Amino acid sequence: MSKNQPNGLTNFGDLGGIDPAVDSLITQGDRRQADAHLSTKERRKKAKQRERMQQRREFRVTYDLPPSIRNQVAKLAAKGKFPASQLAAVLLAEALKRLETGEIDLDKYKVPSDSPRYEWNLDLWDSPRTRKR
Amino acid sequence: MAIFAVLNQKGGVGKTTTAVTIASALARQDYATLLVDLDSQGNVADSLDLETGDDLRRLLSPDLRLPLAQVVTPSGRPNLDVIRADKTTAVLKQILAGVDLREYVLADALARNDYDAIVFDCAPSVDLFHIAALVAADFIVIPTRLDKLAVNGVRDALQTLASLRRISRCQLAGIVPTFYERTTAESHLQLTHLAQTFGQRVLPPIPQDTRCREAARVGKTLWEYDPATRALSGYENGNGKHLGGYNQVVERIKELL
Repeated sequence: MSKNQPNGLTNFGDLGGIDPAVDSLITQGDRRQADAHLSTKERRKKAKQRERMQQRREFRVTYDLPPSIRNQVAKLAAKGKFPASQLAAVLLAEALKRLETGEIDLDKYKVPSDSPRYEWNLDLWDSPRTRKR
Repeated sequence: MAIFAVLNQKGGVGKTTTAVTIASALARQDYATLLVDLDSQGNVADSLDLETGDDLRRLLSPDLRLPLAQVVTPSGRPNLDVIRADKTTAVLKQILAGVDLREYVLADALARNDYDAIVFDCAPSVDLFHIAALVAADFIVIPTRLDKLAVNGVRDALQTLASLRRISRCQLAGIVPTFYERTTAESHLQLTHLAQTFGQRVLPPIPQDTRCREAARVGKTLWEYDPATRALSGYENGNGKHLGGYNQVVERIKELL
């Protein structure tokens, strides 16, 4: 028998966080309660906003980029009068094509990684790693 | 191997549905599982479309004490055996009331077995089998409706558990909020209150679902009656994910095996 398993609760001082599913349902409930005080028009507006955010979610991603690249993208986007995200997507798509054809060589950026998760880092000229040196 | 006691001193909170659903889920996932009915109403047999029987009396009665293997009833489902209870359970309790070390009757009777999991469906009262279940079990699972009185039942169950600390090593596996209605303020308030009080020991809630009653009426488990039903799969989150439901509860329970 598993009498000594530490998984169950014996110490009520050590309750940990909240189960993710419970947490999500509580968050949804809180939102529903908050929305209950809004007018029908405002509720519809909020629901539409949430729907839009939901649809955008699969297009969103977070990468760490050197500030100089971020600034360059922002400047170019402002100059060209198009969204920075779309410019980043076009540049990335073009770079990926060039990577496939062998025009870009990642090997020249490779430096060994200290992290157990990765074997290599790709070192850019002003990445936090390079700046540390 | 682990023994789970599904218990709440309050009635009508979904104990039998929870016990039957967890036991049948484990059995379906290849865990050799024994479901023990400790309630003289014999609802476990009804829920699984079995004849009621006096398996529990034959296992525990001082004049019989038959070996476990001779009293279990196959449920007709792979990996799932049952010890049924019926009205003789009430008489058995009276008989055992005069027996020394009666708190250990269940632990002794189940001491040697080949099951991966044993699930007790306890009666809604603090009786001899309630105590014996807490002594024999490794974990307690407390289903509760999301209303004030039922949530008080959680506190009472934990107080009983604490009072048995000297003879029981049973731990709280989780509190299962049942009959959850995400659109009602009271359900939301009580779920929030439970989560703030018991943290991660509050397991994903089970949505209110009439399929539970229908399944019990026709003697099928929820997995057999409607595997896509909300009580199993929970609420859809809008992004394809599901929240709550017995599927998630079973996953949490399996972590303890």
